[in-house]
Amino acid sequence: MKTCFRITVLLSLVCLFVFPCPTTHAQSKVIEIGAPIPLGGVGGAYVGIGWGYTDCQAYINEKGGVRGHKIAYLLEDNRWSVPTEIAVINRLLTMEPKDQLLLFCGNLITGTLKAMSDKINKEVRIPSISLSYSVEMFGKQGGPAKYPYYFSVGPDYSQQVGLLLRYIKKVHKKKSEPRLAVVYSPTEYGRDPLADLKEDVKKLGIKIVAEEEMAITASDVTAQVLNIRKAKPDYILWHGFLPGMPVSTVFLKTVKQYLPKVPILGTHYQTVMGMITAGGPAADGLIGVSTSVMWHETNNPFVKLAHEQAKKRGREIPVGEESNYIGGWMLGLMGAHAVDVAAASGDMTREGVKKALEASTWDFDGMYEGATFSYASHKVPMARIFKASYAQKRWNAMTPWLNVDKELK
Amino acid sequence: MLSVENLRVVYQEVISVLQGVSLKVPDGEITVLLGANGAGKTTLLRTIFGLLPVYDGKIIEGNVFLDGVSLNRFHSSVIVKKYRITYILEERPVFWYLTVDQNLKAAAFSRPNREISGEIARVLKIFPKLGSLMNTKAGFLSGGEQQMLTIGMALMTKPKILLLDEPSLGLAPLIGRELFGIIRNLNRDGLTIFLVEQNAHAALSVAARGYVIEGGRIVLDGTAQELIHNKDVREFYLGVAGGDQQRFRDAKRYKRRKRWL
Amino acid sequence: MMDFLQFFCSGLLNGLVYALLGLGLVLIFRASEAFNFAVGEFLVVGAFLFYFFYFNWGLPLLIALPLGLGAAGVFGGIVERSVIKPLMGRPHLSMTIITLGLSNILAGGLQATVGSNPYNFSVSLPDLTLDLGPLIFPSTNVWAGILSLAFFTMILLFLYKTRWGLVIQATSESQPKALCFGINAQSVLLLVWAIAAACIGASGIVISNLGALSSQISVVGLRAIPVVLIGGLDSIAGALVGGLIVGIAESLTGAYLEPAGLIGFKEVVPYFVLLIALFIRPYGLLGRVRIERV
Repeated sequence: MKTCFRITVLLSLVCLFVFPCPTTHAQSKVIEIGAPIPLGGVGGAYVGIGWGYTDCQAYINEKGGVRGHKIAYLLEDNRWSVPTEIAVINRLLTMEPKDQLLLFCGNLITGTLKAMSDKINKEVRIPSISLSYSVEMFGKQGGPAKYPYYFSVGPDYSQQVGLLLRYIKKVHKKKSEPRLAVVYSPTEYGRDPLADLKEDVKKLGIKIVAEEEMAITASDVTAQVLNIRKAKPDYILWHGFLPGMPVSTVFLKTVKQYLPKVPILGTHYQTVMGMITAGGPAADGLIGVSTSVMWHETNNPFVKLAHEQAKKRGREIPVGEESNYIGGWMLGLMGAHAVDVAAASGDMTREGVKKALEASTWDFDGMYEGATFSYASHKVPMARIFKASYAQKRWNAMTPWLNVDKELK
Repeated sequence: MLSVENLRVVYQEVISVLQGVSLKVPDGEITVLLGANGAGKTTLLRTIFGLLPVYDGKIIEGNVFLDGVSLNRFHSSVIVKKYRITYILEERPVFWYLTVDQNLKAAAFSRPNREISGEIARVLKIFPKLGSLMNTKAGFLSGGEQQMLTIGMALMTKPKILLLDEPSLGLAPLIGRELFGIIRNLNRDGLTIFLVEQNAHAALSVAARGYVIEGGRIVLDGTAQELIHNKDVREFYLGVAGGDQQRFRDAKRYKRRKRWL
Repeated sequence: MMDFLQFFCSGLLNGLVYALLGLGLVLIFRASEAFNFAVGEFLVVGAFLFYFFYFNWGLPLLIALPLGLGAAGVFGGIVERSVIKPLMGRPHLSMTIITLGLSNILAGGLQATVGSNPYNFSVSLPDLTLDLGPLIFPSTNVWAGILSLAFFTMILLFLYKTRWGLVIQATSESQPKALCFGINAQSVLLLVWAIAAACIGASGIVISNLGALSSQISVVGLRAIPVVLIGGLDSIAGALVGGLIVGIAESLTGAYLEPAGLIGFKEVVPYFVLLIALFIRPYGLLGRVRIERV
């Protein structure tokens, strides 16, 4: 009898600890934002993104949170791997309460978006802001009609490539039509803009003279570069690589040696600080389109905020991580902003956040330098073309912010 | 004088191989150790030569002394270099993929560089046949030539004591006889030799003293002459039949073995 | 024809780098009878040690290179003493298996210390670009070939012309035999691992100079597996032959097969060559036939 009593007391104590009284949290609910980011794996570690989130979280919560609610970014490592990211998302979806985990806001690789599209768009219906610029998800074939819960922070790859093609047309001085070599990775995101690209060049009068696939694990790309050299291109467009992949630098160095005069143009992920630090002199003169601001543009209010916050928290951003740090801030603030708008309309649910994002015209407090745009396409239509300077260790803007909705008409 | 006192050795902490072996190898003599397979002959040589750790073996009792200094702790490279003992493995330890010349040079690792050419000349004087084979890979030599090379290599280390493990194994009888002649000549030049053999007849004919090891114990010792005339040695090692050849023979052999154990 | 020559020769230059990498493995295999699966990490560690002396400290190349390779050698020695030596006298397979674990530990350590982002790695060397009209060989590739060949020759000279080299050959053939003649097999093994680590580190430096240095280039180390298996695990000449075969096969595949739609086939083709080579000679083209009693 005595043992029985003891066991009962013990069990109830255990229960008290394991399932604490539910009323304690009800007052100020913490808003959770799932954030899978790459901290290792094939594409390299992007710790800067994590710092961006952490500082953004501290910044918002110091201001008192979003309408009284504290914000928490649930950072998880996705290792550039689709299975890992899916596991992370599934775990968060299962573990976190539905009224707290309102959106995902992170790396979200194209492959994950594809694999999880039914679950996220039809079953769970949770808005997911990603760093993917996949044409399949956000371009003509996809878009809000097909994937109502997917959002992106920039134009899709086809649009980015479109901007570059128009840039080529603009700077091309020779009489003959520009000869373009295309290099891409044999991955989902690498092949993504190809179909649209081929249509686009016809329209613009650019000739594709070489098309090379280059494995992301390759350690030697001489053969590809020699093939390109044979085709005598005026420009090389490369797409689908990350600065953390060794092949990126190998490619830059090889091109620099075999074809020193041919400019290389890249999409968003090639237009980051890491490319300059890894490529060194070989990255000099690289041209790229980016959907984000650069760290040295301190006149930009958004960059200024990031600088101030980094300084305040004693954070030294090493060369190469700046783009990632800004990326973290962008995703963080965008998520927080959506929650804010949703809370203002009194609908602080996943559905409310989605509506808030769609209605938003928010420009990160002036990041796009006053340009106006609509967010109805589920992606920010703004991008800009930069050129790398190795001497200055930065990307210099070649154009003002371009609104793809207008430019690519 | 090399002496072994009450040596007990185990492999892998459990397998007891030598169970209290004591023997003496007097300077300038040929001492022979007879024993069947698995009696512990090779283990005894390994112990003297400091190779036990390589085979996961351990001395749990007793000592190996050279002129009163215990060799128990020393690594084989020290034993060769400082105490001048060299051990010739049962399998002829020539390096198959090296030429005869390289073999000799490799064996002289413990010698200073300047002495090597002189040593080689000395060895070639003893084994003139090797001279014409200097650039042949050792793997292509015949068994007898390999055995010569082996002994030549051992001499390159300039040993005082030579431990020989079944040198006549796998040699044609004629070459075997030649080999024992060489051994005797080396001994005459002042080399102490500790010979482990199964070919008791040849071994005892060159040796001064002999020991018989059985099951990890020394069961018999004496001068070579005494051993040659010992009834048991005659029966088991020299192959001379004992008194009874009838049906009791097997049982009696068993009994004798028991007495030794 | 010119095309073919171009691809063939650039394959040759890469092949020399692979040969150097293979040599490191062959040395270890001959001495310890262990296949060093941590070759990729050895490569990264070696390259980072050089990076440290050359880029961080800014030492001149002629000082930084020996220092870096020496440090890589010390690293190899430490690995031998701490991981391989305790396994002496055990089956050789256990050493091979332990290098697998070592590979994981080192990979984790590298990830923790240097991260997985690439480091800019451009050694300033005199321009040796060979521009022969239709044929062109860029400076870094030419240097890669030259440096690899130089290291390879240096190690060969050491092995075949010095006393220690002879002792290494002897010990590699049989440790018990070497022990008999007072050769300190443990020091020899230590030396072999140090040389092999320096050798792998040298190829790491050369490979990094072709691209960037990052802990991810350890995957290149795995390219050494077909190299040494084609040539024969215990053959030094085999490492050279295997390296050249792999380099040329990769280059030609990249030129003629990949454009036909077999993307990434370049990574696989060494294994195809390996398969064919093993059909013809199961111990590798120049490997010794081993007869083992079970």
